[in-house]
Amino acid sequence: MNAAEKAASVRPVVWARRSVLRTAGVGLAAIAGSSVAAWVGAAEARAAGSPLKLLTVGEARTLEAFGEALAPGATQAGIAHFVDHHLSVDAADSLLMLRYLDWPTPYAPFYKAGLGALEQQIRRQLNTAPADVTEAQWSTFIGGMQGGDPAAWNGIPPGLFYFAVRSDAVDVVYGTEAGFARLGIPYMAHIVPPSPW
Amino acid sequence: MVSREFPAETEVVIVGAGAAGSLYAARFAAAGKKVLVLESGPAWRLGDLISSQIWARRLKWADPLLMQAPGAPAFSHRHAMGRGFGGAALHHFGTWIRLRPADFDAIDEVSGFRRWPIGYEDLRPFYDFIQKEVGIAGDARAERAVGRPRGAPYPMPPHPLFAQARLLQRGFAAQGLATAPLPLAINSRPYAKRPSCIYDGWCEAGCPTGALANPLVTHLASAQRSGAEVVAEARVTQVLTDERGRANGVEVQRLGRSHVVRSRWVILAASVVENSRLLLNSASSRHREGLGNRSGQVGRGLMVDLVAPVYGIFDEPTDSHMGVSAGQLLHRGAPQDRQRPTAPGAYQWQIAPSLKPNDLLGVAATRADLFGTPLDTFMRRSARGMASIVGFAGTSAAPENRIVGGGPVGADGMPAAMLQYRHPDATLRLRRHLVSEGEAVMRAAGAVDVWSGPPAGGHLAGGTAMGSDAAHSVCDSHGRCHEAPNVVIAGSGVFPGGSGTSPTFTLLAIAERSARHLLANWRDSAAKA
Repeated sequence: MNAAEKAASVRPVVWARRSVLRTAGVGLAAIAGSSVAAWVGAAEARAAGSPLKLLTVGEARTLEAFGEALAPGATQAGIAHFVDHHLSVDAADSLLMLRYLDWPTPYAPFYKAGLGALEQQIRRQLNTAPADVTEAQWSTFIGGMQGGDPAAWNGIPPGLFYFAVRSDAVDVVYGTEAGFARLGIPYMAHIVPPSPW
Repeated sequence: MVSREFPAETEVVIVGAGAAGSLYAARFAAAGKKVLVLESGPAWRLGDLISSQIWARRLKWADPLLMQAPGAPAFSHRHAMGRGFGGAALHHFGTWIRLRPADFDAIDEVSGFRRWPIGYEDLRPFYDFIQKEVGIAGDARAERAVGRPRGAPYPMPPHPLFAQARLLQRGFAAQGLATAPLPLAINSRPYAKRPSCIYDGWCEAGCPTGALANPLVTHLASAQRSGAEVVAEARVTQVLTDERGRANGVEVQRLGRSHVVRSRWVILAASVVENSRLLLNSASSRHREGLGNRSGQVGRGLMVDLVAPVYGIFDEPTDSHMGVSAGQLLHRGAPQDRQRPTAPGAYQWQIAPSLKPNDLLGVAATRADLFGTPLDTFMRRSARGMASIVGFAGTSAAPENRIVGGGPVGADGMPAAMLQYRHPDATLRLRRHLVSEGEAVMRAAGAVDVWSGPPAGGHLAGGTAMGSDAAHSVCDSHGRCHEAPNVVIAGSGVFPGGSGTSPTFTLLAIAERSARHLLANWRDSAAKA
């Protein structure tokens, strides 16, 4: 690939970023930035427009759309920044549920392959982008993931990918002090988390 | 290269700062021995035990130390493992239940020998001692109804019952199943200079108040007070042996550098998996198949109980956010229970554990099929009226269930252990029985919706079994390796048979018995070593 071809291949991504800036408000607005912000928690990172460290714009959008379908509120709670942060740190410091699921480290290839396959499958089956999939369409699509063939999912077992991302979405929506309050459960911390995760 | 960070020599080196390693360190240091504890994980402090199911994942295994052999069924284990000071006991639930006399009568189906070289009465005084030293809350008299063997009464009264437990107690009674307060190493009143529990259900994140007896407030603390040196981020990769085949030290990796520490005694207390992996990685000219593995027994006889969780939704509030992670009540069954001849094996029900919304044992994971609006509806409904019971189907040791070496080499330079495991048919049958029994209990308690969870593993044991016969075991009843008697193996890996119950109390009783034996015979033991 020569320089011109590289430039041409990058352009759609640039446009995609601009699209995100318009549609996602402050959420992913600072993705194009290069500085790494101090970690303060995913919802705060999203609200502050903190840059992503490892996921691409497209992957973050796909993750937010999928996470929102799995646990409503996951986008605003910062699922993209949550996953992105914990993919960018050492495995020993990564707090994703995938840590429990016997998947070998590093975890980033799991998410990148899974998100890539998810987008491909949605475009192939529904002829649309993940962000535009309706609730009814998600219901049918996710139902079909359980018995899916890993070969069609970049080698990632789709049932495992569903469970892992669903767990991430549950973590950010229900597993924090705000999440407990949403359910009417007292949090009763001995030691209050310095950030949600 | 020997680093100045470590003493070049010590009297006792202990691999692993979990429950068993900490107990050995406490006893040896108190007796004036020079003790060095090498822990592969971080130096956790009580202030690190943040109340969050997400943050708590830091305390669990992060590395793929044990991998599935091709074709092996799913076997999730990392959730129950620990890394760093306190080991798995830093986030354990404090379910301290004694094995029963019949558990020690397990027969090896291949050889026809009795597996355990000791019986309940051999361990009973050590159960009693630790129970008094650390503190257990329970009701010994009431627990007789669910098979508590003879022993001293508990030093603390049982914990109060919350709404969830009272509802479920009704269900068990309706099915003719006795229950008793779950014996817990959690303070129901101030004890051993530790405060009472406040029932907020954060046990799995580690208990920073010390109400739940984790090693940071029990044996690791007393070991350090007595002068034991405990080093974090130090992974032992090999037990070194001399020309006689006896251990004379360990090789340890720390901060990217390799060190050697010479020691007269080596205590392996690095977990079921790591002890086997370390022995297999310690091959030498005198131990060609790995240390202690001349008979090919290292790694064999691995056991994992099968979990059978059953859940229900009630119309009335259950207050399931209150209590402790282990549960509030206990029911135990056994094959020799003549009142219940349909029960095919040893098992227990832990009744009414406190629940959190997220994580592997959380509310959302009990209905992994739900997503979107139905998930949110379920979560809100469960927050008010969910209850659960957790069955553990006991298993038995089979030689083909094992840990083997030869996996991919990790950052520590050691091959990952590979797991070859198939749940015995009897254990699978028992689990099916438990699901059926549990659903009947839940309905009898008044649940309007009842469901069960998928099979999962719990209570890892075996792999370095004790026994009186070197051809069929790895160590003796004190954990001393048959081939290298100055190597002592600690933890539930020495269990030669299953029990269907939590292993921590028993592994501590075995370690206490062993430590006293070694100290009482120190001169003779050292000479033999």
